[in-house]
Parts: sequence; C-alpha cells; structure tokens
Amino acid sequence: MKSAERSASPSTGSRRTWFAVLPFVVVIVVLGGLYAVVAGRLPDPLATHFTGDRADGFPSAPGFVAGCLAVLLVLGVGAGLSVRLREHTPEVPWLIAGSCATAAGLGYVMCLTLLANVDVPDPAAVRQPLWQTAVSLGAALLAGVLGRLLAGAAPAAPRRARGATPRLDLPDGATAGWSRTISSPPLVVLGVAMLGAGVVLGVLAGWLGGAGLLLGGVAVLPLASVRVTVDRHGLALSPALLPYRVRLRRIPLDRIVEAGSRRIACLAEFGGWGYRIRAGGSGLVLRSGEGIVVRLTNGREFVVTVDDAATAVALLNTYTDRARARQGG
Amino acid sequence: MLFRVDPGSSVPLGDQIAASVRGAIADGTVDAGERLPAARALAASLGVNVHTVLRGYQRLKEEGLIELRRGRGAVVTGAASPARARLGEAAQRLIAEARNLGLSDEEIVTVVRTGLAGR
Repeated sequence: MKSAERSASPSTGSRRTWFAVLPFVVVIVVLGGLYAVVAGRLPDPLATHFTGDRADGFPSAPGFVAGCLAVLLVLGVGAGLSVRLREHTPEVPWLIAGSCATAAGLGYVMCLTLLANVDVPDPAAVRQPLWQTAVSLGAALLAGVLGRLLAGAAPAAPRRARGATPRLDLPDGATAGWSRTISSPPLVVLGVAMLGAGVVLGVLAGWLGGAGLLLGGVAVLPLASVRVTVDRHGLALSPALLPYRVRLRRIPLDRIVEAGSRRIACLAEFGGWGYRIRAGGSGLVLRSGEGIVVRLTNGREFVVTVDDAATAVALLNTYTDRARARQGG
Repeated sequence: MLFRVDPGSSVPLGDQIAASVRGAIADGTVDAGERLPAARALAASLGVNVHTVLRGYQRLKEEGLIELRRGRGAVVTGAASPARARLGEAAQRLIAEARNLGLSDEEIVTVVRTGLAGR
C-alpha cells in the first residue's frame, strides 16, 4: 500500500505528513527549552488552572511540563497518522491547518502559564488576565490560516485509467471468459471463529445469543473468498464456496461506461477491507494493490481488487465495445 | 485466467479450453493450487455445453496439470510447472502438424516411438 502511494506522489505525501507533525515538534521544542531556562525560578507547585483570573489548580512543575509534552506528542503522532492514511483526500490541507491551529493555541497557553509562574513566591497569587484567552484563540486562528496556505491545494486524486485503455485481440466469432478467485485469510479466520463462537455460545448460554454470532459468521464467510468473473454478460462476483449461481454483485455490460485497472489502497481510499460503500462508488477490496475499476453509467465507480486485473479490464472493454456496437447497429 | 474459444477454429472447443489453461500455466499467470471455475460456471460464461468444458478439464487431468475432485472442482496440481505446460503445448503442435500431413494416430505414435528408440 505504502509503495503504491509513494509511486503516485513520491515527495508530496511525506511532505504533507511533516507539515501536520511539524507544528507540534516546534511547540514541544519551545516548551521544553523554556522549561529548561526557567526551571530554577518556578515555585512548587505551579499555578496552572485559572477560574476568572484567579489560580485554582496547582500541580508540580515537572508533572505539568511532562503532561503538556505528552499531550503534544500524542496529538502530533495522531495528526501525522491521519494525514498519512488519507494522503489523497481533499481534507488533508484542513487537517494540516487544524494541527497548526491546535499546536499554536495549546503551545501559547502552556508557555504563558510557565512564564506567569516565573519568580512568583506564592502560586496562589498568580494572575492570568482574561484577555489572554482571546490572544491564544487569535494565535490559533492565525496559525491555522498560515497552515492552510502552506498546505496548498488539495492533493490530486490518484490518476484514473482513462483514454487509451487496452482491448483484447478477440476475433468476432470468438468468445472469452476471465475468472479468478481472491481470498482474504483474515476474513476466513474471522468467519470461522464467529461460527464456532456462535455454536459454543448457543450450547452454553442459549441460542438467542449464539444466533447473532452465527449470523455474523454467515455474513462474513461468503466475502472471504470470492470468484471474479468477466464474460459476455459483464462483471460478476460470486462467493467461491457457494454454488456459482449465487451472486454477490453483477454488473451487466450495458451499465458499464469503461473499465480500467490501477493500484488501490484499501485504507486510504475505502477506510478498511471487505465490501465497502463510499461516496461516488463501492467495491470489494480484500487487499491493497492491483484492481479493476469500472466506471458505471450512473456516474459511480465499482472497484474490486484482484490479480491480473489488466487482462480482465481488456476483456471487459472489448465486450462493452461489442455490446455498444450491437446497440448502435 | 483467460479462457478463449473460437467456434470457427478447427480445434475442438474442449481442446481450446484445455489450451487456455495450459497457456496460463506456461506463462505463469496461474500457479499451483489455483482453482479453476466450476465447469457449469465456465460453460455459462463461454456459452458452450458443460460437457465440452468437462472434456477440456479431463484432458488437463490426463496431462497431470490439474486434479479433479468431487466437491472441490478443478485445482491446478503442484506438479504443473510452466515447463510441463509448455511440453503439453509442444505435443499439441506435433499432433497438429502430423494431422496436417494426413498421418493417422497410430502413425503419430510411431513417429514418437521411433524418436525415443533412437536415443
């Protein structure tokens, strides 16, 4: 998955991830540096929480700083991961802007709290004017705007196969069929485990409870191993373990505009594995990598990840052409 | 894997199906352990009789490229290597050429036997 994303955008992907992480790194460095400088001049405990402008929260100084750094670290890693996992989605620049704003706002308040405590003999006497809240919000907003500008335009979606899609060299009278199975060992294990647990639970605790697990297993297992077929009827998915007439999904030729093949990243594009439905399309994605992408007449996309997708796509396009020629003539 | 049949060709349809599988094993598209589609499903896909498909599968079984098991369908055997599949293809070419020359089956076997005896 990673290699596929990298090949699509070798540098921008990791650069965007760094844009999201960097603000937190900067704030961590500044806060750590500030603490190192003023540590000797801080009272113990610190005044860190204010109601109105009066202090009412007093942790120890090292505890406060460690807590702040931990929060920043977790947020930074979270921001980096969320950009990394959805590199090609339009919300990436906003994620970066958000992490800039969060880092700036939090960092400002944390540093201000430390500074307010410097050279104060009695922490209860520390005051924090209310207008500082407005300043911290302003700083956050400014940083957010800056971050949005730095992040630039939303990244382009992965290139779609279009234009010169291959056709199969198939003489007029000849017919061809393409067929291949895709399996997901984790789903097989999950389905079997659910069935087993359902039976055990049913025997031990009553069948009402077991039925839920059994149903879950029955729903998962057909998706665990699927046969993908492309033939003169169109594209069809059927559970490999069931009689061939049982179909998960069938797309007749007259609903297909064009087919293409490309690398598919399950987590980034569909947010997971299995039969997925998202805005603008749906698909069966059991692993990341090569897959068939069918553009439908209703403007949606159907995706299925399978090996040797290029051959399937060539055949599907050949038959789509034939069907169209037949309708036209 | 891709199955092709051309009713216009002089090669029997069952043999064309066998040739498709042989070719896929030969060029590495299909590995050992891969399950071929059920005969009924493939017949419906290609618009041929199910017995035609079974004839093709039977031929592949005789060549040792697939195993036919009740309930499990047709599975490419571990012994089916690309080289082995290419050997099958070479044999098909030999037979086609001999038939073009008007040789009978007996005479074709004799040609092969003569070749073996020469070793």
